[in-house]
Amino acid sequence: MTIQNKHSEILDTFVDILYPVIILFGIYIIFRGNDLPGGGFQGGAVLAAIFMIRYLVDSETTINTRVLKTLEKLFFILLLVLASFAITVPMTGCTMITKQLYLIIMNIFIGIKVCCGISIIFFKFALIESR
Amino acid sequence: MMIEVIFILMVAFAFASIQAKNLKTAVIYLGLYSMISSFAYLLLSAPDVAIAEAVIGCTLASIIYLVALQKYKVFNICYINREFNVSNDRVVAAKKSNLIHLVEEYCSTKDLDPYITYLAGDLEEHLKSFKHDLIIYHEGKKIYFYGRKRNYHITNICKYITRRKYIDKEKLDFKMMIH
Repeated sequence: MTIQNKHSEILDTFVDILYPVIILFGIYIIFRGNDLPGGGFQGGAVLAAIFMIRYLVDSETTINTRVLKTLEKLFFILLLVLASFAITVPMTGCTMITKQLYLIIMNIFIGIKVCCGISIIFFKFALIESR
Repeated sequence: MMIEVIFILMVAFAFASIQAKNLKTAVIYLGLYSMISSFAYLLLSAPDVAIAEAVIGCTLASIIYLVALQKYKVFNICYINREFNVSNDRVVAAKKSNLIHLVEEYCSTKDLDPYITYLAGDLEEHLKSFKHDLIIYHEGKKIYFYGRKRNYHITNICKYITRRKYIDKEKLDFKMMIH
């Protein structure tokens, strides 16, 4: 059973304006996470808010959680590979820039993984549990 | 000075969320508590934790609680009456007894959303596949309520109906069965 939702024009328009702001903010938090407050987890959670807002505006929207699940698994494996690579290879000869680049890539992976995970939790909760 | 004010506000909102009469208001108070605690983290120079708290505690947890409350609100009622032989909505609406009005009254006091299905079939068949939260069986002067044991609304509904003196007035045979 879906939640009864009257389609509101005001909410729709407002959320259309809000989408790019949320996406930009999430990406900003992820990219500047290595030297400013923020990081992969926080940015990913902000990005996951997009799916939630979409559900709140229009409860009829269904999303294919299988794609999100495979994406999450893929990025988890990539994270493990990258982390083990960084541990085994000595980083003494690395410059500051490569270290920063490594941190940014790690943050991006964590961000995508957290975004997928939180949206899967939310959609499982909102859509599948109710049937 | 600022941090003390924030601590006091945190305690105040935590108490407000416990003491709230409505579950929805309690959830909103909890979100406010989360927001203020995120300010506290910011003032204690932990901006990372503050962002995480604002995102998780204030948004995600509140939304999940609200969705859960929305789900919890739906109350499926099945009303079976042998006299409903005609599959016409007007006939059903005309015969809709005072009992249903009482049940709907109870639901509105408890913030529930009643979904009532009117049926004219056999009781045994519906009891076998127990899909509804509450099955009301009405035949002449007999009224039987069938509900699950873990659903505490059933006993409350029965108490509400007996308190309203509807049963005594109509001299009905009223029973509650736990399935």
